[in-house]
Amino acid sequence: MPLLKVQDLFVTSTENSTYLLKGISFSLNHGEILGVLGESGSGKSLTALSVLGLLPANLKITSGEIIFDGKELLSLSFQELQKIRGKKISIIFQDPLSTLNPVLTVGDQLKEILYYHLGLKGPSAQDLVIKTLREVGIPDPELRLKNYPHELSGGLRQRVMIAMSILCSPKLLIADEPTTALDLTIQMQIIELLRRLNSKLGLSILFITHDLGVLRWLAHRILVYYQGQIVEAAPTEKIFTKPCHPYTQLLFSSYPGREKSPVVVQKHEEKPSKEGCEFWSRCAVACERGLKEKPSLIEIDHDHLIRCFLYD
Amino acid sequence: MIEKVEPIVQVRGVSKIYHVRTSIFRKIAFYALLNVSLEIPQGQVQAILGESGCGKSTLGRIVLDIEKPDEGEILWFGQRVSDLDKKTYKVLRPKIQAVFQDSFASLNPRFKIKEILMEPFVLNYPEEKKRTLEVVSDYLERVGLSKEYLERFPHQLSGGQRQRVALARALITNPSLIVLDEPTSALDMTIQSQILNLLMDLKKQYNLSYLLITHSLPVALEMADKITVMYLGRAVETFHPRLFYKIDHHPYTLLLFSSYPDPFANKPPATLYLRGEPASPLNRPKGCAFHPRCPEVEKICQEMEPPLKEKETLQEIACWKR
Ligand SMILES: Nc1ncnc2c1ncn2[C@@H]1O[C@H](COP(=O)(O)OP(=O)(O)OP(=O)(O)O)[C@@H](O)[C@H]1O
Ligand SMILES: Nc1ncnc2c1ncn2[C@@H]1O[C@H](COP(=O)(O)OP(=O)(O)OP(=O)(O)O)[C@@H](O)[C@H]1O
Ligand SMILES: [Mg+2]
Ligand SMILES: [Mg+2]
Repeated sequence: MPLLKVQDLFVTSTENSTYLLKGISFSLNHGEILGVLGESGSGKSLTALSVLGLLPANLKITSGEIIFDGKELLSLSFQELQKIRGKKISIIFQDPLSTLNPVLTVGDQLKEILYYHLGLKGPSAQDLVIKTLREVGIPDPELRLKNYPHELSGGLRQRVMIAMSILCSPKLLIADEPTTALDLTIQMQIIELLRRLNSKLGLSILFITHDLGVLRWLAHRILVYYQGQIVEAAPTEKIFTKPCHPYTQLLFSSYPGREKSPVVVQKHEEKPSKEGCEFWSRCAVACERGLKEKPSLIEIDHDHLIRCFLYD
Repeated sequence: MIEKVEPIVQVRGVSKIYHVRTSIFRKIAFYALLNVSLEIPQGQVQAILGESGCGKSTLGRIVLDIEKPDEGEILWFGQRVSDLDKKTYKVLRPKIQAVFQDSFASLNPRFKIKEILMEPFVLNYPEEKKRTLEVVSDYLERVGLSKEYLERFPHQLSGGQRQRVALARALITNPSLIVLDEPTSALDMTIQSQILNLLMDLKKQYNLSYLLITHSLPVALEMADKITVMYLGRAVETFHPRLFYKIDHHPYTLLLFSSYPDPFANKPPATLYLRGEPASPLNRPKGCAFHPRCPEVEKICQEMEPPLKEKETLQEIACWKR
């Protein structure tokens, strides 16, 4: 049984009932690092928030299942979820400044978490906090404890967030662009750290990022999102050697310094109907069928899923 | 008569001191920036690379005059910012814009995107007030967002969408220079390349300049006319990206490059090269600040700080071994 299973998840906005997630399904195995790539605004963060039960008030889950460690999360009460969050599942958010408490020092925030989830306080809490800060590559942790979030550089804040998320030794870490504000050497250090936690303690990770390089060398498997759907899913090695979906191909060829495919901003005359393929208007192939029909996610090879008529 | 064209921004020997509290009674001071100088001519892209916490954003804030340097001075269009009279300041101020690293924190959560974008335009172009909405939609479209986003609040956008709103806001006042603090790291590759292309087009079209703060080596190489590498508040190397592969670099620059995870390489980056604790400005090592992590360290490196020296390769390096 996988550690996390998301099945046919639909999320909609209560204001105009547009769907922001349109049937997301995937599973994350014990000890797996699952990478999530995709268009900006395609629903990667919303997927993470759904798992944690933290969707903004104007959004709601209309159908689907989220099963974590054998438990159906969507039926849990707020209190029950609260106990799981931060302890068994923890998250590193995209915006460190808006999630850290501005009026508490870094040390106090970390200690608060330890107290809440593990009942730890005093010197043993202090020691664990310092140890964890050092582990995520924060120099002079004893001094940094006394900093307020606004006194830290972007990268230091990010590392504080990472420290916070691994403090209680969670089973699942959801990392939403955790290394974007970090320079290359620190980034490598964090990746090494996550890899170590993964192989030593079996920490499973859902890793959302736009950084192809990080995913290439960290993730075991990769999901590619486009407009609220998964359009490709495959083991890392496979997807990098042979990206199949036209969006994945576009994504890879847009990498700076790569040979650009000539079709990047191609505009089509025809407009696909509402029932047509979401990617049609940016697609290099733009097949006839995609104009009025939506492709479904099919397995084209062992463990390799594609949502595209080219492979149907 | 030929007018001498002044650089948009000059940074001359700038240092910035911050304090951290170590106990209720004691604070220690440290240099977040130490004697940094650079010049950004019109139409040029100056990139800043460097370790997290080395002072890149601080430099950006000082260039924008959001913070004052403790030593040294900033010049806008050849004039000392500290000497500007109120009226000139008001004219020049909007010419230098910024897209901040934490885009969410820099967008007022109580305002709709429409209002966030309209405000700076109306403020700077009161005579064109009637066109505001049109202009605002146009800029939004340029950064790849449709009109429907006008009515949204910042928290209703994804990370990358917010980043693009911040960029549109910076562009809308027709600036001469934009400080771009990690402008594209929150964007997917297709939009990233779209935004970078937009930035390059605007640069050509309006002769714009950028101070580009980034962690992305490929982005710096593609965009910049000049790259400065910083370490613990100091510039340790400046070079021209075109010569990147042809010249010898500072050991720290080499370290940065070797930790770059190239997704299309055959093997993972060499993390073995990483040694020593990451640097901290609170405990600046004696001599060359990089020496505890430098694979080429010698006796002199531990004793004396190397000066930034000009080389014949259009390069400046601060290293005893180069
Ligand atoms: N509270 C909200 N109300 C309405 N729409 C929202 C809200 N939050 C997010 N959205 C929309 O939902 C879509 C998915 O957002 P999400 O934050 O999951 O994107 P993402 O894939 O994480 O993108 P990025 O890579 O830019 O962070 C976006 O188009 C966004 O504008
Ligand atoms: N207001 C402040 N008070 C005290 N210290 C500060 C303040 N602002 C920044 N610092 C410290 O100054 C140093 C430089 O910070 P800065 O934000 O310029 O780094 P940076 O190079 O932009 O890093 P990053 O890549 O992580 O964003 C850091 O050690 C930071 O903690
Ligand atoms: Mg996101
Ligand atoms: Mg910064």
